[in-house]
Amino acid sequence: MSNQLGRPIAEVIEANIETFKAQCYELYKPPPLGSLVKAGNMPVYGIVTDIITEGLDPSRPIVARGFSATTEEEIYTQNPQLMELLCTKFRAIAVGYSHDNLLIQGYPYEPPKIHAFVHECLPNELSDLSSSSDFIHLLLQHPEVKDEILTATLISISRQITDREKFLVRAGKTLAIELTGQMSRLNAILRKLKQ
Amino acid sequence: MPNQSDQTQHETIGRVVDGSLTRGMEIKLESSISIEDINNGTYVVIQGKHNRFVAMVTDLTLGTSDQNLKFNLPDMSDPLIREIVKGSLTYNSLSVRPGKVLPAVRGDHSDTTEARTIPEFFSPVFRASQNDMESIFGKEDENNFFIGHPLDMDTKICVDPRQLIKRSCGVFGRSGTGKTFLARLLMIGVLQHTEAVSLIFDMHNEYGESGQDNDRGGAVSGLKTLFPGQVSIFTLDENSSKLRKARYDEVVRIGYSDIEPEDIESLTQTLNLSDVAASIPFTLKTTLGDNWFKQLVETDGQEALNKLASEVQVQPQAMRALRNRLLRLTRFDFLDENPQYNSLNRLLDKLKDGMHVVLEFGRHGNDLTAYILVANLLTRRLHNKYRELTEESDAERGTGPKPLVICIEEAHRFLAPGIASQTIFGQIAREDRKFNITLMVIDQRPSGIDSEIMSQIATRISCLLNDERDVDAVLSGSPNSRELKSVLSRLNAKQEALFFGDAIPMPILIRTRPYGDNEHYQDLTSPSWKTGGQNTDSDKDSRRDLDALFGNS
Repeated sequence: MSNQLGRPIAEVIEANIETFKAQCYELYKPPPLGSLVKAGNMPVYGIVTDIITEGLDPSRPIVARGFSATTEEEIYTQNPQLMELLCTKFRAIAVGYSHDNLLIQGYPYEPPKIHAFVHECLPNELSDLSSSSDFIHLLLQHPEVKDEILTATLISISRQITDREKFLVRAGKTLAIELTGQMSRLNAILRKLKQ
Repeated sequence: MPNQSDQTQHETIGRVVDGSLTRGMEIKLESSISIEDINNGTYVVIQGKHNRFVAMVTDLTLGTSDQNLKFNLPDMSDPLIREIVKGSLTYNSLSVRPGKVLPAVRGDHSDTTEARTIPEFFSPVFRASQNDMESIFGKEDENNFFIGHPLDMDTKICVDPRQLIKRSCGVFGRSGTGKTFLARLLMIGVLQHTEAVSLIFDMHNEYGESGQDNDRGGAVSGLKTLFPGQVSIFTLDENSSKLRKARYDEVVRIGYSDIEPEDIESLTQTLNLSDVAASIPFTLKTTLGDNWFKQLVETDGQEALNKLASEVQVQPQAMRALRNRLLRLTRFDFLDENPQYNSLNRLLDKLKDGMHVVLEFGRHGNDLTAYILVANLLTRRLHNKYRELTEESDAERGTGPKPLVICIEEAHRFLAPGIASQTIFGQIAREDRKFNITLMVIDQRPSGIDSEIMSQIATRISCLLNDERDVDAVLSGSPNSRELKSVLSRLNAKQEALFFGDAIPMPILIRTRPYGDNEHYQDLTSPSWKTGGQNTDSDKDSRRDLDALFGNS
């Protein structure tokens, strides 16, 4: 697995074994829903399952400012302080960790440190993740992961790897086994996957 | 059909997922293998931890891991979803019955043994290879006769004709499924591979000079044509033989005095005799001696008959009825008041000389009365003679007369539950090989054969049967009857037969060996094991090339 790191896109601000939350360095520049990110020097890998943009100061409620503006961009131009008062955060569910330069699927033994840098993953790391379907089991087990997020994750991974169909077939088979007895749910996911 | 390549044979087609020694094993097919590529009745090899098991496929099943699947179908028009569903939500499975354990080392030709254990969970399953099949069914050689191919392979399946005739055997199948072809092949096997001789009651003149191939039209060679030095044809109907331009060696003549009361008893049904009338010949024989038949049919007029009836103390009416029916027999031209020679002795001489005898019935083959009468009469005498010879030989600690195989068609007429205990055929089937005589019964109505007799038929070969009772009858007594039933009821109407019993190590579904043109005859008369391998496929190719160049000489 390559250790080549680009510029971090976010920093961990909250973490436990199952999930970590990171604040993006740029407003409205989170990694896409369902994408694979890694946090820390001994990376913990996570799938982005939620993206939030909110005010930095909870005591200052956000109010509407576009009364006289004609476009959204105008609001930000007229209120340049907004770029400093707002921030974009995302939540990722841990699906693996690095051990001896290998991506091991499963929860890490310890969560990433607070302020750990978060990077987007490289294609070879995506390939490593997609070579096994264990992460699907982790996602399905997590109460915060909705089927739409799971589908988005699978589609996102499939678009970034070379053998898209092979990955989707294996993922679909894992889902079929995991969701035995839930035919309607499985059918809804499969319908999304084939698109 | 193409031979399975080595690669295909070594591909895992499935794994053991369930089973028991009594029920057989369930194999889950790999999702890459289409269930349509596996035929019921084919053979697979299960590689257990310590043993390699050979098993026959006895059922194929479509399964699903989710019972709601059929109510909530995924979009199967999409190839991705089809691929996902295959092997996860749906799976294919085979029911197989392990029969034999192969030698642990591949290529080791030591004996196979009965499967007394079962393979472990998840043992991989492969298609049986040619070597596997040869390990079980043997190679074509001086001991083994090539009878056909497995359904999906070109491997030769062989039968040991000496085992086949050790006890009685049966060829069953509804009309037009190739019973006669099979029986003819088996008789060739007996002729080439054993010391035995045979007597074939050839009802429809199909075994001697030539037979009919109704499917392709035209004639196929009979036993005499292929093995002129070893087969002798006796005919009951000289005129028919002449009309058919068929060679014959002897014309059979049966004297009135040769007819025994037992022969008439076996005709009870066909002559529609009452029990009382059927018992009269025994009384007549006691009183009048060997000439009873002649005296009865020549006694004309009511008064004379009444007088005879009172002499032998039987009911006059029953006697009149009996005489009327027996008069029908006198119209048979093979029955002679005073034959010039004893056909039975000539027949015996031929058999003693190691000749196989085909007894053609000519036009009499259409008359069941003639067939039953002659078959019973000759067989009874042969049986008596064989009994004498065997007893003489036992006294001198010899090996007895040459084993004799008697081949009868329409066997249920001789072996029906009501009469099997009385007819000589029933006796032979029950006595087994005590006197060196066994039967080869050919029948399209096995349910009409007495179950006790059926249990004595050690090797059974069955073509397609439609009636469930017939299927049950053929499989009765077989340890795998439930599984074999599913195989047997799905045979093709032509050229396919299920073979099981003593003469073959495991039940097997075969495509019968081809029969009917010069190349096949050459293979039959000069098999490769006799010619030292000069009749191999490449040899045949060369011959074909030469024929193409210079014409078939």
